[in-house]
Amino acid sequence: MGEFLSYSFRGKEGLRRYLKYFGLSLGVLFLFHIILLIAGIISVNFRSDWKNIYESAGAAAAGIIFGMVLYDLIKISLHNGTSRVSILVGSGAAALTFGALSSVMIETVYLITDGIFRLAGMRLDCIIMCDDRHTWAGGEQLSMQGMNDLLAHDPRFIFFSISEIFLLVMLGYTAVMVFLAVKQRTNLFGASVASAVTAYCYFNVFIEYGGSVTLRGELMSGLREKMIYIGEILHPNPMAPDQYGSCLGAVIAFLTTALMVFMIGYLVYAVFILRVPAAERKRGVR
Amino acid sequence: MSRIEIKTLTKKYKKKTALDGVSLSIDNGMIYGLLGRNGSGKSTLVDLVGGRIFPDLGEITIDGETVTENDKLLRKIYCMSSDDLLPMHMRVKDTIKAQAYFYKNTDEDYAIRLCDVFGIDPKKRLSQLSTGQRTLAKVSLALSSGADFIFLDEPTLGVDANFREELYKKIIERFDKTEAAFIISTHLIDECAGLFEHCFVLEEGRLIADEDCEELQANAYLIEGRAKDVTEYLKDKQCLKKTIIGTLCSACVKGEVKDVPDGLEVSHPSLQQLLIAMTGGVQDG
Repeated sequence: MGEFLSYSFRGKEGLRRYLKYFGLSLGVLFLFHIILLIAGIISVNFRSDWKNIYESAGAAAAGIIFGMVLYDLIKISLHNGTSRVSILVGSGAAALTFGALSSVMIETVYLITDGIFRLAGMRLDCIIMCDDRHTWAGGEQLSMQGMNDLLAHDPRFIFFSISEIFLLVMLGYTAVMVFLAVKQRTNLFGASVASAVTAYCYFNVFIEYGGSVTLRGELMSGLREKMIYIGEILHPNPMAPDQYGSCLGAVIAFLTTALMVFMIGYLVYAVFILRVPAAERKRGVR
Repeated sequence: MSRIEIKTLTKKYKKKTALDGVSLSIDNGMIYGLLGRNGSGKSTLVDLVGGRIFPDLGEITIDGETVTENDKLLRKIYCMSSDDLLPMHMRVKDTIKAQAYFYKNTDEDYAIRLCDVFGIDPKKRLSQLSTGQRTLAKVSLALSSGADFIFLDEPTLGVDANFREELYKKIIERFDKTEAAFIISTHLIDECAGLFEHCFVLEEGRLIADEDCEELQANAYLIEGRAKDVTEYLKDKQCLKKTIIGTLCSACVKGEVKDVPDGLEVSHPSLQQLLIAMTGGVQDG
């Protein structure tokens, strides 16, 4: 497994390629925002949630690029005498590391964009978790503050935000890992079903999530319910003034959910990848 | 000295049996020919040994230890596939560097030198190379891998005669310098015959010969003459293949030369002729 991880992190077709394409896609999103800003399409009164677009498009891009990179990593490793177990464990470790790095990158681009928007007298929206069951007065209060100044740069928010992005990125990774594992088995029917399920999941996560988030904000309903459930245990209230401990609770809740989602997909991936043929043909003997 | 032991290896693709209980052993310091017709299971055997596909039955071990899911042992084996398994967008030099992460004994400089000898620009992507160049790039990777057992599946695929000559020289050079075993699967048997010390012959997934090449050839002969005389002579012989053209007949016979009547000519078959006879069945042309 050491060789697989070593190549994943140091080899040209591993992390370097991932960062190249992922950085490029974030750069395109960034430029897109700036062009909108310069063109005057975005105004102070424009209440779109740009961070959410970074999260949605960024996480989707991260998933797809990770899929491309992992696909080649599997091929290169199998060609170079690597066992399936090493590939399985190695790709899990790589996914978590790449995912964490991607989350930080997305948040960084968001903060840079937010800084530029501030120079232009605007600000980016951010998410405050508020719902019927958790009326967080502190969140409401900070939402109002956020209208005017510092919310995006609040360390609590950054901390909270990265973990939330991580959850979305891991959703993307999970989907492509399942898809890849099925595809590697050259099972067209399976790959079609996996891609349909993947597309449906993405639709649910990003459309609902994207459509429902406002400044007062709420996550997609299913995720929100889960968060409430976890939140009730951990009492997360990330935006409550001076409650760093609560923010940590929210972060843990996000990370726990991310890992739960990832592990489910990873198990499916494991079942398939352990018997992945590198050279089998559907028809014919050679 | 290491040894690969293959025991009753069986692989089925749906209803077709690609390999049927093949057992053989491969020692360091030998060059083997893995021969057989198209679809006889040669590439399947190579892929199974390299852990790229899984057997339905049987076991592959190195010095008694099973190779399956064992990275350490898998790295003792290098399998050059006739298929293009590496991503085609990779540059040749990057495939060499990638290999060095997995095969720690990879001689990167040697691989680059081989590319130079074969006229391959290491900066080119695999997709930019011709079939022959891609084959030679894969052979360069294999020869520089430093593995103990190097399987070359169709190492001459699409390669022109000039580079084939060079390729055989490089294989011999590498063989002289290392203790590695080379297992070469090819259809250009006469060209490679000089390389082989030992032959495995597969037919429809079964191993029909596992012998030293010289012994294999010595234990068969060609007999030619008038069809009537040859047919008469073959009555109590094990004929591998008989071809009749007009009134003339030639046959490949297994066993020692004996009781040859006047009028019939005897000679020893080339490895290719013998293989054709062994795997082509008896024909009455």
